[in-house]
Parts: sequence; C-alpha cells; structure tokens
Amino acid sequence: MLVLSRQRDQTVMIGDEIEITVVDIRGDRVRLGFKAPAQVPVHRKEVYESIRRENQRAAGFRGDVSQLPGPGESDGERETA
Amino acid sequence: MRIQSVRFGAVDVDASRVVEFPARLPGFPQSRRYALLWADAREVFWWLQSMDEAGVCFLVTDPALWVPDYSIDLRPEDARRLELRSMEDLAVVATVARHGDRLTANLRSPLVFNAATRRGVQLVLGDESWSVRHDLASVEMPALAGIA
Repeated sequence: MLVLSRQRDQTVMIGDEIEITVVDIRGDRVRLGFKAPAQVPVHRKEVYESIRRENQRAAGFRGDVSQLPGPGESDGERETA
Repeated sequence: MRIQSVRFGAVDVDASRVVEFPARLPGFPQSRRYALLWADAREVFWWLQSMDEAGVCFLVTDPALWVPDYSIDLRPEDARRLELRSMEDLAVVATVARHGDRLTANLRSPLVFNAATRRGVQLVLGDESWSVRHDLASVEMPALAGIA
C-alpha cells in the first residue's frame, strides 16, 4: 500500500479525476473530502461491505415467489390458499 | 431481445424493461444491464435479472407497499447520476433476501432508476434508521418446504 503524509487542506490525486482532501484532523479522527466522477461511487468501507454482503445474499434467493407473504400478511395472519 | 438466465432459461425481454447501472451494484462488477421481470401475479415482487451474468438475479419489491412511511432523500449528485429531470420519473425498489425464516428488504441501499432513461443507481442512504435487513414478514414452513 502506498502511504503518504498530508497536512490539513492538502490533497491527493488518484488519476486525473479523483481528489481526496484532508479537511480536518482532530485527535484520532480525520475528515476527508472527495471529488470523483459521477460513475465512481464513494462509500465508507464498512457500509460498502454490508451492502455487498446483502446484495450477494439477495442474488442467491431461492424459492417459489407465489408462496411468499405479501404486504399486510403479517405473522400468523396469512391466509393459506 | 433474448437474454439468458440460469433461473428462467432464454427469456425474451422488451427493451423498455432494461435498466442500466453504469456504476454497477457492490459485489457484482461484471453486471451493468438488468431486465426487470414480473415475479408474481400480485404485482408485489419482480426479478431483476442481469443481462451480463446469467446466474445473477435479484428478487426486488416496492418498499412503499410494505413500509408506507418509507422515503428517500435523493441528493443532487444522485439525481445527476440518474440524469433525472422530473421526480415523476423516479422509481424505487429494494432487494429482498431471506434470513432464516425472515423475509427482509434492503431499505438502506435501495435501487433507484430513472424510468425515462432507464438508468439506475444503488443508493446508500445517509439515514441510518433504515436497515440493510429491514424485516418484512416471516416465511412460514410450508413456503420453505418448496425451496430447493
């Protein structure tokens, strides 16, 4: 991994279009600003990972959709056909 | 056009049912185009079948059917990514998953698309009150019995 030292208000470029700026540093917390093209999403990694996991779970859905409960058919209230 | 699906085999899809996700969905970098297919007669669920990977198919639903007060705060940059001109063109669905005997929907990162241009984005909402595993309903054992 490339490691660079930066001070407040200094920026790192990734390629021609992505900028990461150190906005603020307080104790062990650093605030970063991102400029990136619209097609490059920027996420906190733990949030990205939770979405990736949930997407993979959803893509593995198995079963008969006609057997799934619909809205308002809550626990125990569902009519069986 | 004809697409290949592991779940459905060869399927004929009208171009009006195709949604493009230029930024892809996290975990699926190879899939850019998806076809929206009806999944059930009640019009509650759809399948979102990848046109680039035959094995990738999401079950999705309209969150508003389940959670009447569900709302999303669309940021200007997301509206730009969608090339959205009118909010009337905005369509919102959430992926559905099963965790044990619970049916859940990812309301934290809904799939939104511009119905006019059929360009889509998976949002990440700043509002932490919505979960990636929002509980929808229990899946009863008779339903599970039919699951391969």
